[in-house]
Amino acid sequence: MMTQDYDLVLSPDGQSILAAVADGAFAEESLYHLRLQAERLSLIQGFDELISLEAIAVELFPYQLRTAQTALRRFRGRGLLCDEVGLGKTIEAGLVLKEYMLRGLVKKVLILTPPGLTQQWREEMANKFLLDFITHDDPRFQALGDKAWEHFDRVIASLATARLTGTRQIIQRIPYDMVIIDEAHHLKNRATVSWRFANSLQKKYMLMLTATPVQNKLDELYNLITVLKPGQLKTEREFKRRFVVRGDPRSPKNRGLLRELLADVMVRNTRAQVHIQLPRRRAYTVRLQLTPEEQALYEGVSHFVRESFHTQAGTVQKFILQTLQREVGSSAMAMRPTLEKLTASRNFSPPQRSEVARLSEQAAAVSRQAKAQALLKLLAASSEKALIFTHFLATLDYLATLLEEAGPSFVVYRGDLTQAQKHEAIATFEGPVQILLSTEAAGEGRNLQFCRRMINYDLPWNPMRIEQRVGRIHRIGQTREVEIYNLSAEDTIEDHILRILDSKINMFELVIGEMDMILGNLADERDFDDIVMDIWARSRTPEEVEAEMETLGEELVQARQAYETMKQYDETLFGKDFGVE
Amino acid sequence: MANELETFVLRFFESRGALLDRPAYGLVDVVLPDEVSQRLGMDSYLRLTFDEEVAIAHSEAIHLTYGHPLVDRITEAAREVGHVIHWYINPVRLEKPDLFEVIREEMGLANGRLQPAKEAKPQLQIHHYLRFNFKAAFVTDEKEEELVSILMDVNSGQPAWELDEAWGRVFLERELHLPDVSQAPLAWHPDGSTEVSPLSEESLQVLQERAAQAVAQKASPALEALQKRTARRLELDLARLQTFYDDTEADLQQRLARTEDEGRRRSLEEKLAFAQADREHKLADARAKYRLRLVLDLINVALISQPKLALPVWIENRYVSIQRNFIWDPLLHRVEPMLCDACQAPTFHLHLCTHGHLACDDCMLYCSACKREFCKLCQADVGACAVCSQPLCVYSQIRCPVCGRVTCQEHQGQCHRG
Repeated sequence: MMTQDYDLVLSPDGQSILAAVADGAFAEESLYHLRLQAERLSLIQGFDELISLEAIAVELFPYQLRTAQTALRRFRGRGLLCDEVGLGKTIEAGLVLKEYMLRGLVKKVLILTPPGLTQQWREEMANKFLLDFITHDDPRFQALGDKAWEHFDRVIASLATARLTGTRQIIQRIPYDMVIIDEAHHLKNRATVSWRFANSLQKKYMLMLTATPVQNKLDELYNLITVLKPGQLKTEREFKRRFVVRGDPRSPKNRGLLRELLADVMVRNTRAQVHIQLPRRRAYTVRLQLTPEEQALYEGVSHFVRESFHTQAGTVQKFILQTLQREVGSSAMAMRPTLEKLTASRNFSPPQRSEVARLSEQAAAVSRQAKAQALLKLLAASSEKALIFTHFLATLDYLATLLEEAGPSFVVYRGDLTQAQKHEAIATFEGPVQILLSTEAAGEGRNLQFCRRMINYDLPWNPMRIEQRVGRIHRIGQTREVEIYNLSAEDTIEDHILRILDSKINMFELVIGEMDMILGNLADERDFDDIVMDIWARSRTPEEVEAEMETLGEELVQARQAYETMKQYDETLFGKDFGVE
Repeated sequence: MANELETFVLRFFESRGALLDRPAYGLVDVVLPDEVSQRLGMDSYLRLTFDEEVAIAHSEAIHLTYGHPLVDRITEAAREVGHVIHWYINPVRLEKPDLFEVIREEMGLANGRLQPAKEAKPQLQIHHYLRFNFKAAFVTDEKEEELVSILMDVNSGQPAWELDEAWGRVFLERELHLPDVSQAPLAWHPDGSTEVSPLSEESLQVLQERAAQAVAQKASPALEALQKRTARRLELDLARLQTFYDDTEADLQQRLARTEDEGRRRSLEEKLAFAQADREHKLADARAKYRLRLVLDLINVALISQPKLALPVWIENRYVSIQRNFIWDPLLHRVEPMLCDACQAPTFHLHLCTHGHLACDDCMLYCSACKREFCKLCQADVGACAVCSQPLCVYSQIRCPVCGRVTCQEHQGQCHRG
């Protein structure tokens, strides 16, 4: 007979049912059975069968499912997910999280990421796992001040923000059901505030994600595992004695035993193991010259943005100016909503507002757009299906009108369509239509592999956004070489970005996800688009822009080299020993 | 063949007055009354499919799967109703010839006899059962759920295991075929009163708690297995943590003993303090993670009423005589066990307490001198001989005029000698 070493908890919700018995409030028989059936359908079983699979909006690969099951069953919710770049660690973590949440085992969640990835995580959790998170920079979060950390159950924050003095102490007091740390190699050093902070968090389950668990020496791996499972690799001294070659902190010994210990806490799938080899992708730059009207407008807007950027202290105003600069890089129409906003804004001086009014008129007067002409020429050269991306709805509408007049068959896809309309649009594109004209919302989670041509009508400043676009067609199931066409007007900011991303680090031929790793190796921790905007705003001449962008390009080259070195080291250390296949 | 989800969804719509039609293979058209569709926040016309292939061919149809928002809404709506149902069991034979003889055969009365009450006839009474349907969640660092039903006899306050076993064969009806049958009183009550309504909220509350205990009893094999597994995991985790912190602290202590540098000493002391605090913190994390909980959520309840026969019978011995109702269950064809007045356990082996209580074997005390029997409710009337420690009732105790202690007759006067 067992001793009752467990808690028997009777939910108080039954009171109303007992009251109904006492009152004689009886239901129909069919409803009684339905009530029972409703519960039976939602019963939670063991982890052999994941209940989250029906409740997510992403197609999983078998290795992702097995990784999630390994994390749930073998690691019991505490694991280091170290898949090679591009294999979907976020998806694996999201699946584990969703599973725990649906089972009622996790309610309070904290996701810590590098600064530039909070939005991406929020979007992925929302779009793929139907989980609403709030980011620490969201106005609703900010409005609550320190209380927000306790108030919101699902928070995404940058590690840099969370570990700040003051904030750190608040978070440390909260008992989290689950903590997820992305790019966990930032916790490689035990002496850092980040490591101590992560170690001090109260957490039932914890997932740490990194493609490069070891960057320079084996101690780093020890430090990561110790946050997850203290003692798994014994003490630091013991770890070094047993597993590190004396005098060479990079070389392991007793590999068999080390592998055994790591297998209880770490999984690492490689592309070769899971047989995910995508066809090559090629990028083509269509460089063009703006029309004189456009050129004048571009220069006018750039001048206005540069002048105003330094005089505007507010983040919102700076964001509006940055948006304006991005819009002029897309089309004259794209600027309209922002120009209207600026005209009405009291944060800008009367001379600035009259300058805006002048720019509005100038934009309205643009009659011919060089990029649009280049696009039509490009489309006329081939009848193959193509996915055209633009970031701005106004540009999308303009292109729709243009294509209607020009003749090629097309269908529009934008974020505000209903699910049925989106489905219809994709189905039409797969069928008779040649072109899918789309904003970034295109086909998140949908299969577009039947198309292999992508045209970036405008170019996002953030390379991660570019990767997301490419990822729509360059994904599992794509069997043909992928072609990416970038329309680039000379001497625009996008032209400079394209130059350093394409020619310096060959971004368009990287594996999806690698760009993230490279950006993570940059010394400057700001978002890439902020770095670019900063360069643009402080450079007074095209030569200065050129030189600054050249420097940024060199930094990217170095970051890529550092990444390649790490990748090679991790490959040597772990090989295929930790895959789920 | 319809799967469980399809059956559920279509039954739900039917229960809300929807019209269903099957226009083609795998498709179901649902037309909901406007008032219902508004209340549920759904379109009044829905084309549904539960089949993936049909969904591909008919993009206009809503493909329902587990986790689909519409299924979630239906599930939630189904949860809002159907909380209580009332059924009746109408047994075919409601008379029992020679009931007193049957009772006398069934009941084992250790210290008395049963006598029929004069001119007493078996009376029909309505007895109640409550079928508590719980969702039981077994929670550690993982969670599994199952539906567990427990049938409680309202009048005895005990789990009705025997009827529960026969549950599938019980014919339940929505009406009682007998008019004007009185309700049987409670044979138990938290306050000891038998006057309150069997279906008062207060007694229902206690019944629910007892039902929860019965779930734990029913699920004890599963709980035991889970407890073992969890305890093992916790043990391993704790051992790993303890060893790690023991080693870490020992290492730091050693280094502390060796160092003469003040700055280094301070740093090591800080590390030591950190390790000590961290140990407690991590041990607490592990214990919280593996704590086993059985969480019960009452889903709904069925009230089942059944007529039974009650026969008043005298129970007597040389000291006392009491009258009690014995119950004949015409469905299970048996005399129901009586409840021990002391522990309320059902039993067929009764003792008549000198003060008129009925009690089970485990609740009886015996006077070693006069052989009278007392139940635990009367234990204040039973002491012990100060010399031989044998139990002595108030009727057999001899109080010593010298020391005031009580003894049996044999040891009278010996209580205060050396």
